[in-house]
Amino acid sequence: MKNRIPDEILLQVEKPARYTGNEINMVVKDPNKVDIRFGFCFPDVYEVGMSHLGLQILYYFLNRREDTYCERVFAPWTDLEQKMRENNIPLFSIETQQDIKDFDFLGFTLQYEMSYTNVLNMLDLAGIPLFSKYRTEKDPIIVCGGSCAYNPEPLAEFVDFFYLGEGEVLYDDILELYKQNKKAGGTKQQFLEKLLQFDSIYIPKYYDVTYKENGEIASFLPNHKNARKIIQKTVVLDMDTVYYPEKQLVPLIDVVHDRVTLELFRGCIRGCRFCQAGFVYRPVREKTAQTLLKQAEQLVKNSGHEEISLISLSTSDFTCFEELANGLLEEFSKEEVSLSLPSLRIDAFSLELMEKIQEVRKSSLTFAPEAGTQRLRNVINKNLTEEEILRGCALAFSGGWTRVKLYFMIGLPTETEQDLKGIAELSEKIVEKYYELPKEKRPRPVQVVASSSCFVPKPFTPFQWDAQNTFDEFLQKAKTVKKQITKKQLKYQYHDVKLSFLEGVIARGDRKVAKAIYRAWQLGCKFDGWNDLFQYDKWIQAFEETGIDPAFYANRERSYDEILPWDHISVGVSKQFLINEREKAIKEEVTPNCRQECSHCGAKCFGRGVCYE
Amino acid sequence: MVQNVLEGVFVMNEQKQIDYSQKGYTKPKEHFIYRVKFTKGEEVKFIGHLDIMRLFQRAIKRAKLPVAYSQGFNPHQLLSFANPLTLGTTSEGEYGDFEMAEKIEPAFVMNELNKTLPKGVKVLDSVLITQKAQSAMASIDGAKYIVYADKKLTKELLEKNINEFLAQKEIFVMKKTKNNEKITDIRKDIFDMKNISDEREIKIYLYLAAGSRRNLKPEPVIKSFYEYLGLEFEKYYMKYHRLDLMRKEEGKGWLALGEEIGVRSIGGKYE
Ligand code: SF4
Ligand code: SF4
Repeated sequence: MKNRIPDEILLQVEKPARYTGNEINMVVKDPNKVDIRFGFCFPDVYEVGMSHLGLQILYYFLNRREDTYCERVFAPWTDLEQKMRENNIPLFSIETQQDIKDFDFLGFTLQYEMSYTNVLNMLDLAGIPLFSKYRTEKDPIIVCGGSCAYNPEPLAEFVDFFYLGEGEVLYDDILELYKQNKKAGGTKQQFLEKLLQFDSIYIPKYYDVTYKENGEIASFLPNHKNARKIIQKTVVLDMDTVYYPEKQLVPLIDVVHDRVTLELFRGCIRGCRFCQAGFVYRPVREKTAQTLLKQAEQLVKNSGHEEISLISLSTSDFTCFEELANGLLEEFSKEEVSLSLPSLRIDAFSLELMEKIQEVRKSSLTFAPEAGTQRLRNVINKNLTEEEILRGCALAFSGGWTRVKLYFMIGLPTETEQDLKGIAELSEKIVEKYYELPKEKRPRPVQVVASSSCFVPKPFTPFQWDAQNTFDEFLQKAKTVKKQITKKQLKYQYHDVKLSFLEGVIARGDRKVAKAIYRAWQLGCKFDGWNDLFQYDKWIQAFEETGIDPAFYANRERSYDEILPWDHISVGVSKQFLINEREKAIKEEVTPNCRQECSHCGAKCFGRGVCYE
Repeated sequence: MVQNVLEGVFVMNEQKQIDYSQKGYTKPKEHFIYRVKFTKGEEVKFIGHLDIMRLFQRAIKRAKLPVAYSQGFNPHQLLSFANPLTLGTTSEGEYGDFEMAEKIEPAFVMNELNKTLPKGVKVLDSVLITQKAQSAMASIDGAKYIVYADKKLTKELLEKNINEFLAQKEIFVMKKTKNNEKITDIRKDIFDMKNISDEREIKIYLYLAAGSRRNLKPEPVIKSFYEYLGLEFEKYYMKYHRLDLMRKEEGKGWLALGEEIGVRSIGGKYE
């Protein structure tokens, strides 16, 4: 395959292999022999996109169809983008290196609000009109999915349809429908209308929004007879029989996560009240250890990776965790394949497992207490006591770990100064825990890094009505924590406040916010998630010029009866449940997890999963 | 617990090169070293040195070769590679030394790897080292290249001037070191330079010093030749291709890295 970008340009850009494909297990097809060309677009740079599990799954899922060629498209880094624009080279796919503007579909995965300008930029680079109303029959159909798609409104004007839920369920039907429609000479318009038959497809143009004078939504109504009032997310019911690729794309250059990924289950039983993933992916659906062991064997064999990463939310809640971990260790430790567990709960951590993993390899441990005091942990339903945290750390230390990372949040609802100081106090107690070990068991000084991110209220969480802290409040709070820290073994970091503010605006944005995103893009914003490329001033300028008040979205408390921009979407969890949860939060009451007791959140409607265990 | 990708933690295994000529490294007796010669074609010419190493680690794993691992906390495959190639340069003469924990047919190493390597990387030769030999990296003394020149250089111009250029006693170029630039004479590091153009392309053959003692890349040679001819040198329009890596042995003269160090068959049945 000849590279789309000539050598003399590739030689002048950073990491040219980002653009040249040829990875192990890349799917090669003759584009002339397929009916459907699907561009899987990841609105970030290659190394980030290639580490995304959803890409790996959908890529092979779509390509298992003979009639479809799914190719990857990434955002070119700024150095190449400039050269592409100078030389009139439109955005192309990795596999065939051909222009994506000739594809049938472009599917963007939305993992992060701050990648939205990249979505626009990629469309523009491809030579495709950004607003869906300006696109014609010749242009590809633009579809978006992923966790941010649950509030589709900020991108509604740019996207033809949103797919809400897990990709394995409906894509076959959608592609069949598309093929039939194309064969019958149907138009894109006709295809979109036919899509209305699906519960989980949201087509923004079939809905009209009106606003009150104060900016709140007055009405949100379908304007097409077949458009449903509520669009319901779709989930895979049986995780053991659902398609899972036997192989994985193995990049030829170093990427963020470069290893075999095993997905244990979807959803999370915990229901921490700040956590969008905990609600939108309900209910929990697990794979069996048997299935996973089989998949691991295949994946290692076909990739040659020396590390298996177990992926899920709250990994240690996996019911067959021990069986799986033991099985994997038994199978792979003699082959020098190591295990990595990115998401462990400190309270369920067993010394035994730690020591087994240690046999193979050792790295730093990450724990997420999220809040500094028990009171606030109750508010956010992080069901974890200080004692459990300290016991977990003690176990880790005696197991030989000396580097610990702690994740906290600042700006949580009801937070007081005591809660902030609690972050420092808890972290210092962890340091002290290490020095309780006898001297000969302390090979080197302990390193504890506490980092706090700024709380961003997200749709479909009990805090979706809450005001986010302002810029100044966040800074003040971070200072309060910092002042409290005295130990040199403890480092404190906090995340970019400006970025969190913007994330807050877009996360709960409505259709009007599109104007500001569009303007920000025009002003040159892209890769906003990358510190050194983030242009806060340009964003503020964009808000000013488009008359969008960011504080209206980020820093305003909503009332329960306000129509929220995402109210026409259902993730299964009922609004009443979220209201109850918010009320309980204020009263510092905790809610048991799904396995302790069902709280009837609404997700039982899917008919499978933990609700029926 | 929910992290976005950007906050993701980089868990990279440090993969160090093993140089067994180094002091303190005791080569375990039961290991068998295979010197493997491979290509780096158009498809992979933008893959860097470290990534080539990773690529082989995975290919070895997929091929289920009985590779040897280092001891200690972070066991890693015992592989070492010769002289890194500049990004963008293709080659048909790259070398790596792979340690195996079992004695297997050299051809087995080659064939099994070729079944699983990506396009552009192909093993051309595999030798089980049986004689006293330095590591691939340490033994290099020279490298052969073909340079594909851009349109500015004509065959006539080349033919007429190449010998004169070489006849110079000294050829000074600016060579970049870590912190600064210094003027260096590269004439003694050019062993040979020939016009090998054909009907289609303007090609120059270069035989240059390479390795840890003296090392000369083809670019400065061509650049200084262009300057000698009064032509503008456009860095990104030249193409370089490495033909082979060579070593010099007392009493034997020049040999390729894989020559006369071992055997291509151990008499097994494997074809
Ligand atoms: S444990 Fe809490 S924070 Fe983690 S995924 Fe589950 S709900 Fe979210
Ligand atoms: S219905 Fe009950 S068990 Fe099912 S997800 Fe909701 S709370 Fe959990």
